[in-house]
Amino acid sequence: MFRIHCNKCFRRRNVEPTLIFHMTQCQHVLCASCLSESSTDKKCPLCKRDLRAIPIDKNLPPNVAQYFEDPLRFQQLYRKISKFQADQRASDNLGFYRQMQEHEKNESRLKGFCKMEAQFNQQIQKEKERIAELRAYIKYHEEEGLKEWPHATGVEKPWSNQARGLRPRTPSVTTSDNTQSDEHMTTFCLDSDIDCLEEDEPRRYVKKTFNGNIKDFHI
Amino acid sequence: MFRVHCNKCFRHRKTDPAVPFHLTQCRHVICGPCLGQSSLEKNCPLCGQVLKAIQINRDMPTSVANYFADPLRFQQIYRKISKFQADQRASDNLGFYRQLQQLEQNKRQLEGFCKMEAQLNQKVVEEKKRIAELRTYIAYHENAQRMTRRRHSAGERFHTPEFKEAWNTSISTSDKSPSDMPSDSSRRSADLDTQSTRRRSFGSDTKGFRL
Repeated sequence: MFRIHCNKCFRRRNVEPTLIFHMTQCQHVLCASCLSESSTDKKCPLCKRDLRAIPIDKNLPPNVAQYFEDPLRFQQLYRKISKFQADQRASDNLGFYRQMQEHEKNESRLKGFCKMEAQFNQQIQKEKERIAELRAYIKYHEEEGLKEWPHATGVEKPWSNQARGLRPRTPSVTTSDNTQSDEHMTTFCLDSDIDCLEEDEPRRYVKKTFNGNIKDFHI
Repeated sequence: MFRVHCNKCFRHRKTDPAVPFHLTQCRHVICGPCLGQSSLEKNCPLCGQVLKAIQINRDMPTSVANYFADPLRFQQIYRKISKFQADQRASDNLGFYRQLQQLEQNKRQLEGFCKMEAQLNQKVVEEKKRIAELRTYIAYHENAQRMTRRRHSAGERFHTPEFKEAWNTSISTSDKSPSDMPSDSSRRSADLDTQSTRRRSFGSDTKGFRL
């Protein structure tokens, strides 16, 4: 704090309490007598600027009254506000950092899910292929079943005998299937000429289809 | 400036303009939902202090609104006020310095005046001595004149021939008017006595006059 005094004649307020002091716009303090002397030329007697003065009393506006307060109050306020805003900025940065972390975590999880999806897709494709193979196998066997059954209906006695012979052989290995085809040829030759010719044609068809199926099966 | 956001759930005011934000006494910014969650236990969810919050809007008091203004404004105010008060203190110091200078000048003047006073006092003392000497001189001469007159009157009283001798001495010492011529008759002697008394009264008057 400072002692209020006239900057021109150095008269002090505490020495002369009845004297009215004025605060100019150029931040000088003048007493009433010096102000009245300067009011003729309307200039500040110290810095020669335009003279605009306001009396220093309890009716002083706040923005002028703060010039007579302790400036450390504003320094502390500045520090408080700076600290508050710095803390808020740090908090905002922390929030952004956490958001980035979560983003990276989500990204890594997404990669994991993508890999899992790829694996699942591969498994699905394999299962589809297997299903296709199984369906082909099932078709083959259904076709064979259909072909065999009308032959049996055509020829009664020898088909029934052959059927009896085929039944225990079907649970055997695929090679046994080949042997069945050979047995079919021998039996047809023994029966009759006309029947042998007819049987030879379906034999060829059966051989071709069966061979193709076997190859596919192996593959 | 900073982005107003909830310090707990990091929600931004810009992205959620409908959500109210509150400023606590411990200087944390909390959004409405987080405040609702924390209002049960009446403590700040971040620092655990007692929760006292005020909503961030245009109706905030000035002391709270300052926290969202640019702090450099207060730094500038602080600088202005510091400069003003420093200038005033410098002016006060200048006034004090000038006062000291004037005091020294007055002291020197006072010393000069004291010397002059001493000299004048000496002169006054000398003049007084001279005046005293002159007065003694004047008194001496007046006394001498009185003695001569007394001797003249004494001669008349005792003897005539002594009177004649005294008259001779008086003639030699000082000149007198013809009215003072001596006479042998007693009447004339009586007249002389009266004249001598008159002279005595006149003599005292002259002394008073001269003094």
